[in-house]
Amino acid sequence: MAQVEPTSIAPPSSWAAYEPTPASPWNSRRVLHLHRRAGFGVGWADLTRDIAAGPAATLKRLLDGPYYRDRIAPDFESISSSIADAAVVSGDPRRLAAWWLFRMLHGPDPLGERLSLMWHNHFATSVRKVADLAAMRQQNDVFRTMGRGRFSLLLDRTVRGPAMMVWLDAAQNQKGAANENLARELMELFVLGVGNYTEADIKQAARALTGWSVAGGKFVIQPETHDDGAKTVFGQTGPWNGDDVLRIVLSQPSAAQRLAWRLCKTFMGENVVDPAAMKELGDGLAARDLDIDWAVRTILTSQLFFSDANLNSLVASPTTFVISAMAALWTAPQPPSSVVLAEWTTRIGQELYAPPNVGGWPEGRSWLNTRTIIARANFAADLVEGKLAQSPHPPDLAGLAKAAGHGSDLAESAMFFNDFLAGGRLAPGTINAILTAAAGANLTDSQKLARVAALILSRPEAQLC
Amino acid sequence: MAAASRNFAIIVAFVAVSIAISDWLGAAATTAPVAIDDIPIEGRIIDSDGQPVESAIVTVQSVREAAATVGGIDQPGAADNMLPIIASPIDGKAPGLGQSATTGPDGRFRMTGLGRDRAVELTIRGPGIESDRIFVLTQHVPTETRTVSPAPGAAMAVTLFGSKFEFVAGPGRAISGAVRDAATGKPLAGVRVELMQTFGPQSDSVVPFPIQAITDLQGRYRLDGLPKRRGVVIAAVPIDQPFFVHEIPIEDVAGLADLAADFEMHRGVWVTGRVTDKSTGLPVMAHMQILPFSDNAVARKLPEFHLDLNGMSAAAVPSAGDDLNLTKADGTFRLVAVPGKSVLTATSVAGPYRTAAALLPPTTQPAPLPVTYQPAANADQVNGLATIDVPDDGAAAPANFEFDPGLRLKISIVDEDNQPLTGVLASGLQSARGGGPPQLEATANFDVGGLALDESRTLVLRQDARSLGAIVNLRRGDIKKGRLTIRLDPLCEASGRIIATKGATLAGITMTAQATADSGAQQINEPVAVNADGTFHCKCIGGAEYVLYVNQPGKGLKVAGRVRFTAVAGRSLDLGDLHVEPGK
Repeated sequence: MAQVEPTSIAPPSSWAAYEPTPASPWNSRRVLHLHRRAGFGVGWADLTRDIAAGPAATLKRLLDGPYYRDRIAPDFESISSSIADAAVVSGDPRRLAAWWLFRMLHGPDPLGERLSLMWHNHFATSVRKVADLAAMRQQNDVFRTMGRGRFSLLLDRTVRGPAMMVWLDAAQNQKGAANENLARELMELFVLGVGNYTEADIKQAARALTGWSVAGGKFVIQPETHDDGAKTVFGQTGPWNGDDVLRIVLSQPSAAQRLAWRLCKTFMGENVVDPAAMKELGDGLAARDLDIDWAVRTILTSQLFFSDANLNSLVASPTTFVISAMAALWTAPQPPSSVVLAEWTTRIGQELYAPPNVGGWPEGRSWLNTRTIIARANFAADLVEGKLAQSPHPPDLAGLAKAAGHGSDLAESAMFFNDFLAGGRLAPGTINAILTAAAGANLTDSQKLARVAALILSRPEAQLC
Repeated sequence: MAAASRNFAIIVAFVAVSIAISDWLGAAATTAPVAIDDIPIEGRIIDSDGQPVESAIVTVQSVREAAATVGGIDQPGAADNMLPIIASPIDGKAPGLGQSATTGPDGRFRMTGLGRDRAVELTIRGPGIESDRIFVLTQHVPTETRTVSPAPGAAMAVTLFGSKFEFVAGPGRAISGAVRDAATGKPLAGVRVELMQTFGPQSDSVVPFPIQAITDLQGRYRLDGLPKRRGVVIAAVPIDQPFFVHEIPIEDVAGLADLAADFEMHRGVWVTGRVTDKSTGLPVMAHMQILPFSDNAVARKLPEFHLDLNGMSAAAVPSAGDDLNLTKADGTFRLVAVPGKSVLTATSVAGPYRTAAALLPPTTQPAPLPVTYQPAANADQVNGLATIDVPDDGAAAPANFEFDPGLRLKISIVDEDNQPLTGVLASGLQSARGGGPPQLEATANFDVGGLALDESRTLVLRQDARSLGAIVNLRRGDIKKGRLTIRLDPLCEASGRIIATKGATLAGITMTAQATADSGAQQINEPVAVNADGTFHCKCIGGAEYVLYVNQPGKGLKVAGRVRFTAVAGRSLDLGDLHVEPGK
């Protein structure tokens, strides 16, 4: 099998390009891994195509996009825009969340949406305070359109967005009455990370950021409230303004390391990336003007990304879990209701546009607790019963297993769904117990199969991606 | 004849919008000319998952003059208060009115015969979607969405669709159930069940949408197209049955499955009576309302008077079914009352009469009315008012009202050149305290009624399209003479800039300019347009002394600068900078 195409700039040694080997083959497990980390899962037909195409072509398709170029209607963007417009007019944040899920499920660029979700958590902003759906949508569009470019540009557009201005009380930050929220989060969360700045830096940066405000739903600069005196930020003294603060903060060495941390937290599993590899990635970013695209390509094409240690080592977020399960199993004639899916991601613990605080969702194991585990199982049950559409219609799971060549009996189908949904990690005893549970009821074959799929989807192993 | 207000607040909001938009329309709202050519409406309906909605029924509810292009929304001065389609509807003879179209498999439909440059109100109903109403312009313009403020502090997003458009329908669901007599458990047939206003996440200014059903012999009903959102309320309205209107909030249950809700109805006591004209003895068309005393022991136990919504309980008279609370052609009425004490109000729908407040002795004004369930009785806005004490046994004494027409004054409005002027918005026509929303006068001559010789009455008159206005205190001599010509002068344009300091912000700031008419009773509120850069301006009526108020939701502000000014007709006033800082 061919080696992955080299990226334009040779990656650091810890991030050597993936090359299939007998110990690390290009198989369904790795293709699923790629799609669940870099996107939101994949259907069986695309999975088999990618296995056949090999890693180079698949990664090229995913990275260069659009991945779903074959199935996207020409008017997709127009329809998507209409749906977003209607969501904003409705005043219901759930409708705007549904629009985003619609894009994750049906859009052309799963990696773009995945990165948008990452930035939503990085620049965590809640509609509960912003209370302006147009502003939340604008921020979301910034994530989508700029989420793979230069971090400096993404940061600039995000911070200047009306949503962030309201969220971090920028308008209250005025000469003689500083509000440090924006300056603090800029350093602590967005660019540098804890321990890489002083309280004095925050106070001085807050002064420089005075005058940045929002009015009429738009970013404005109000010279009257700007403190134009000299400030010293990270040792640099001058009559700095907001632009200067962004420039100075971005020039700190820890900026690249913070960005590398965020990307690894998103794409790599727990304890997979050692400090040296993280530093290498950060150094690479620093050398490339914080080029997000370079880092994303470096990570997703790496041997480390496809290493055994990285497979099934991350708890899937509620959004990833829901959309991946839909991509895998939903064969019903009517598409699922994205509003209903938005309800489910909320019940499972991720209400889009409403992260719990400025730090975003903690992610990882914190996604799982008694309530959310039960909610995941209930979602799985509704999915296999087809209750997620306006007109309930169960997906054809038997047909799916049969198309995959595993539909001869319930046990064989169970093995298929184990591979497809849980990375093949369920022990034989567990599968037997599931088969017993499904067979014990007075159900039709398709109902039994639905129950098997739901039980597998509810297993701890299926929560990992 | 206009029906009595189902929801006074909504009507006020819409009138407020009308005031604001007529400034922008550039012409007084008048009867539209007959269309001479036609731009078809070509729409496509998709659901919130991008799927075409087949078999949706699209119906023309009203047709209005568009009177301006969508691009005009961005005109200076249009600000954010404009809702251009709330102008005078063309009457029932408008071409195309009432026609329906059904969407095909691709979700598309086409309508013709509606003319050009019209704003067409369409209702849309269909399988799996929320029933909705939209406004489409028969113009080749792009679809445009604006946030408008129909009333201070309220926000509504309004979309104006161009003649070729795509409409995304929200998800809808059905609700069904039964209506029963709470005492006997027997089903109640012939009860009207309807969707009431919804209280959305950002706005509670949603116009009631006509989703209705009548219960069958088993008391069953079904409503389709219910919106899937929080704050939905449905109501059971008994027709000619002595039960109270019952409103219940509908929980936003997850998913799209149909919902169920049953109504347990409680029986009240019929109260009857008649409303007549004191001078002629003829029947009067009036809107009646019964407001139980807040300490009415029976009302306190009835769920019908305590609607729980979003965790808050409102002690209020149900507003559903208010359209039924009208006198009949012979002036008689029959209402369902709660045993015990209530206030019974009667308000003329047909013409001006002296208000209940005006009929009270001067020393008691404002009238010391008993505290009732909401809405509070307002003697300035009703023509008859009585306290009733209804016995439990169902034998309430009839309550009759004689409305006093008082004296009439014929008004003629002219402009600066003494030419007749139409399209004037007038308040003070009904009552010294304004008496409800301003009325739009289509002709230059109209009457002020319900007057007395010794009455202190102020008329506030505006013609926004021409930027003219006047405040007139009616004098005894005028009233005695029965005729008065009023000249409207150019409005005064006041402007300035607001600067936020010491931690205050401009976010969400709204301003009003308020004056008090010379009679001392009527307040004049002018909307002030505030731009993103803090500059503001408003048009005020010459001669009045105004005070500028600056508001920000949930925050106190301290304002320094020139907030008081006297408007001078035809002048531009620069009020300079207003500095706002956080206050208590």
